[in-house]
Amino acid sequence: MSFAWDFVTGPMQYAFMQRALVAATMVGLICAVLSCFLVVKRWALLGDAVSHAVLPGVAIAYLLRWEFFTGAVLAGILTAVGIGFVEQKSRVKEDTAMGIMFTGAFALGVLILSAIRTRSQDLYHILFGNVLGVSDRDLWLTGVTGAVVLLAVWLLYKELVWWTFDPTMAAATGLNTGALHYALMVLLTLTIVASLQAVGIVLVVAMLITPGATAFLLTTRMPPMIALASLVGVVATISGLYTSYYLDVASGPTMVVAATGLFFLAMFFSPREGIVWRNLRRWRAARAQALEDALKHVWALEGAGNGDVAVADLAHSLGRSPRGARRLLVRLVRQGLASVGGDGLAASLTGAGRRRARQLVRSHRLWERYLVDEAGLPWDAVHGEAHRLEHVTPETMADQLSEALGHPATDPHGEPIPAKEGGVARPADRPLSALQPGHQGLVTRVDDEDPADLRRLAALCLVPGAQVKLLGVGEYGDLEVRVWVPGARDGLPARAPRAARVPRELAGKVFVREQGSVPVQGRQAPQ
Amino acid sequence: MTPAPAPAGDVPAMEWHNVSVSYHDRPVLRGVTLAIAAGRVTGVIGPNGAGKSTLLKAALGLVPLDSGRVRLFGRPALTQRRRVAYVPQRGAVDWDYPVSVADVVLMGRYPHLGLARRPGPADLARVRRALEETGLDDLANRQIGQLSGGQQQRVFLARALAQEADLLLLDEPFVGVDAATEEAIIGLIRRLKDQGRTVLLVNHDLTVVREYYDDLVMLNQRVVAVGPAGQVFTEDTLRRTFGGRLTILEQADLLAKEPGP
Repeated sequence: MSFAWDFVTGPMQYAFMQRALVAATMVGLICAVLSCFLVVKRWALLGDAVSHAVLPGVAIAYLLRWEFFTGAVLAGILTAVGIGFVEQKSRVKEDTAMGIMFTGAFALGVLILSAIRTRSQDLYHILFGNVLGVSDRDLWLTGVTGAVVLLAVWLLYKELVWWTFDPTMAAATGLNTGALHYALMVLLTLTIVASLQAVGIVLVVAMLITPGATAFLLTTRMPPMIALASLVGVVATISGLYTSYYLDVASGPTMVVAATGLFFLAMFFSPREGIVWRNLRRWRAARAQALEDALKHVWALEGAGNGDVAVADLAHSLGRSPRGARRLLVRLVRQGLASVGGDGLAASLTGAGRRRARQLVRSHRLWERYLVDEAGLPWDAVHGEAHRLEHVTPETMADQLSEALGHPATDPHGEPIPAKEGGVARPADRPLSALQPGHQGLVTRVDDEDPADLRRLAALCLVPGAQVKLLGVGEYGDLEVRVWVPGARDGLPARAPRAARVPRELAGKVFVREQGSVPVQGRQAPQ
Repeated sequence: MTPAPAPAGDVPAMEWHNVSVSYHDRPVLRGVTLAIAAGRVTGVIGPNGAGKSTLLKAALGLVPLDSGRVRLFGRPALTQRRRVAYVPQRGAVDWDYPVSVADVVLMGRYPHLGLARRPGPADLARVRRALEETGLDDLANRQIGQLSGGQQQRVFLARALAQEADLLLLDEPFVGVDAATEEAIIGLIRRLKDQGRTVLLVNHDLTVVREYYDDLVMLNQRVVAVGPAGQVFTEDTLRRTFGGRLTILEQADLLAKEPGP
């Protein structure tokens, strides 16, 4: 019919491939179901231990001409019991006990096999599987064993979850956790033996860990985790089988590589925690933030100067290259938030842009007010947090904030909070550094970008509402001032006049409304 | 010291008779004889290594006893275990485990269900009620790791409610929770007491002894003192329980603290 159809059915004309497919599906399913419990119980290493420990059982069965199934199950269970024995009767911990038992048993198995001189091919198949050599008998064995395991998990599901999640409570209320412990070990051994033919002793560990771990990344509840793990297990084994057929490589390792690939896919692309999505979300948020910041800067520049905003000024204000600023402008224009003049060198905001900018500024300043007044943060610690919040604050939330705060007029740094509608009153003020000696002013607002500057300003008491008189300009352009706070206001205690020296660069970050030359002890009430 | 006085005719909720426990030949509990009165809130205090958690574990059959026996509600302890709810230390729980809040609370019903039996509608209704009583109904489908510390502690209290246990054992329930949550938890504990439940809690905070507990057990491998919290919490018993581990100043501060309202 088509290439795809041939691709799928082609290998199935061989009976050995049909049997391999059935075996691979069953193994993928059983291992995956059990892997969920091993992952949550942190027993990944136990799967490793029991699978390696099966080898001497297989070797002895080979020697005595037993069914290899019998030998393998016996060896697996003996090892599981042995681990518990070593752990309880000596001071070594569980992981060490496992390490001792499984390496010892594995070495014993290799030793026996070397003594009886099997063909190296046999050992290779035991270790790495030979799904293409599965017989009908093997299929029955895998099927019946798998059915037993799945039935047991289904019946004991509640107990298994309970015990793996909270063994103390389970034991305290009378659940026989010792029996459950050995039940899980027996199920594990059975699963490993049932999978030997398909993936081998060494690689079965991967099928007992990876599907569960993959599903663990994709969900937060046990039932979907089991379903997803089963899917991962079956997809890995079947796709591994096909790949190995077409590439003519060993099938067991191909299945394991497929499972590992699925794990990394989940790790990178899981919708909730996948690294790729997380970064993409972060990148998108940063991109949206950059645009909104540009919008705010255009708005501020527009308000400060007259008419259109030059691209060069915007670049300077944003601390970006002119190219970067132009790119942001282009995005603003595309979204209908700004328009650019004919020469492309200056821009102005559209009505929508102005509205959005005012919203952002309003949210920002309301949040600063909230964080200082309600959350009790110091005024130098709120700018960054408010900046983060302003981009995710819907207008209705800003309204609620304003309401809850009693519609404050300014933020903690003295910047006016725009009303919901209408224009914004520009404070008629200028930098402290522009004050004439002998003149006095009321601090209206301070630049809030740098927390360290804010702390220095607070220490100098140069906060909104404070009175400042410029006494003179000292060495290096530092300002000699007298600062006082006329009356307690806004959580700020009154403060008697005190002389202070303000570095010039800091003085540029304080804005004052000039009140002419007034005696220091004047009865000028703030606002 | 004599065991806590129980109203005449009342069977103590828990009794330890001459119980000794050791880990790797190191004794942790030495000949503990103790009774916990039913229907009261009892605190267990003592220094690190005093065997506070072991005392609870011994009662639940989680550690082998070197000697002695434990009774719950006047009967051999092991036959009564499903009447006891155990709230583990927060550090003992795997918070990444793929279970939701409702799943954990449902585990409170498991002791009442037989092997391989699934919970029925009555169990689910009880779970819903426990979630409402602890204010967790909105969070029922959250994975437990996504909760705050206080919410996580409430999940295990909700599980104890769903279990309808007569006796609650809490191991350091206030570790890692804020003051408001501690308040909420102690409120819940008092409500349980008003319903006739018995609550036994291990807690290292000595400043709340008189405020939180009706009775107090002061333990340091042996029982140093037991009785109504207001009576047994004295300078003498503190010194004998904690030895040199508390400075005299700390002791004075604790004793100066007036009993709560």
